[in-house]
Amino acid sequence: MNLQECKTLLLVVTAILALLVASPALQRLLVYPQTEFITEMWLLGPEHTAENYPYDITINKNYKVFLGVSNHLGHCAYYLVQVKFSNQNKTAPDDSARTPSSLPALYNIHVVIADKEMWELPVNFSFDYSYDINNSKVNFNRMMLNGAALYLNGYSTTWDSENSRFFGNLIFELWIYTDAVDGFTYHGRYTDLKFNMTV
Amino acid sequence: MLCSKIPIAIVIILFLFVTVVVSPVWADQGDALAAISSTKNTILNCYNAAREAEAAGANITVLTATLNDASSLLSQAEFAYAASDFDAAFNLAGQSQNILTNFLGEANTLKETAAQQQNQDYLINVVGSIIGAFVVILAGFAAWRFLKKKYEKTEAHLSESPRM
Repeated sequence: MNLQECKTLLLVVTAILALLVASPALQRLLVYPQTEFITEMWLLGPEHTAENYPYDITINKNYKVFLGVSNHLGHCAYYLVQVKFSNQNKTAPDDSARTPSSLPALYNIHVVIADKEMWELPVNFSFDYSYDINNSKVNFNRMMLNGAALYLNGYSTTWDSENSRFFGNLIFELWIYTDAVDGFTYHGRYTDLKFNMTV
Repeated sequence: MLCSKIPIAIVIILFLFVTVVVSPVWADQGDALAAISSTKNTILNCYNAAREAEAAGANITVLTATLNDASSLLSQAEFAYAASDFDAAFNLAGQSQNILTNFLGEANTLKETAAQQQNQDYLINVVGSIIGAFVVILAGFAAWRFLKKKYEKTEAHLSESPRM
């Protein structure tokens, strides 16, 4: 082996060894930065899968779904889930304008989720309502949500002939605590269940 | 005579039991609202402490679990208040605050431990590995100098030796 070959070999070995030893430091510099800061929100059916969601509702029958929120914002976040109930006469959240429903919240769920962690809540609910046969209208009395009685007096729904149903819509809106406003602001995410209130 | 006093005595004892031992909390709307507002502030302070601990590199799963227990009670307190059940709202808000009694201390401890761990990791991983890389480069350079000197010496020795 001549001097030039020896030099090349020594350079290659030294470079590889130096890179290996410096790898913990390089790892910190070369880590690809997180670019998507998002919150995921979902609803799963009674078997904890994305199917068999309750649709045809019977008076006072219990239904179960799972509500989940996953935090990928890069930091711990304080969320507020507002539970709302809507019929076709009331406004639902607007996807394009990212505005919440103008309906009042029937129940607020406060939850704090660390970064890259998720939170899930089993939601058990039932509806108590009556059918006004003369006006072909369903009048809601109350909704039981995880043992809490939410009174729906004044809520009613008329026959939706286009979709052949008495429409009901259970909405879960996600709000987030914002330092700048020192309060909760709508996070632009919601998930909902559409029902046919059977009579 | 004695028999007629027994019911009165029982009523008095029952009254004392209810007021002293059971001691229910009777709260009006203002008390309930103040308790809920105070609980919200406490949860917010604890959330900020948890966020600082997380930023320092701490695992805050335990902290968020505690915060969520308190938050769940706050949700129930707000619901009770909306249903005009001010006693329940006041009690639930109080229970929520009780859960968070030691929270700030725990969050600060986690934050300090995480900060120390981060410093140690930085020293070992960053400073240590950079120094190690320089040592390897210097060793390579020294090896090269040694080999070059040895080669030159051999060359010189070969050129000095008589040719046949």
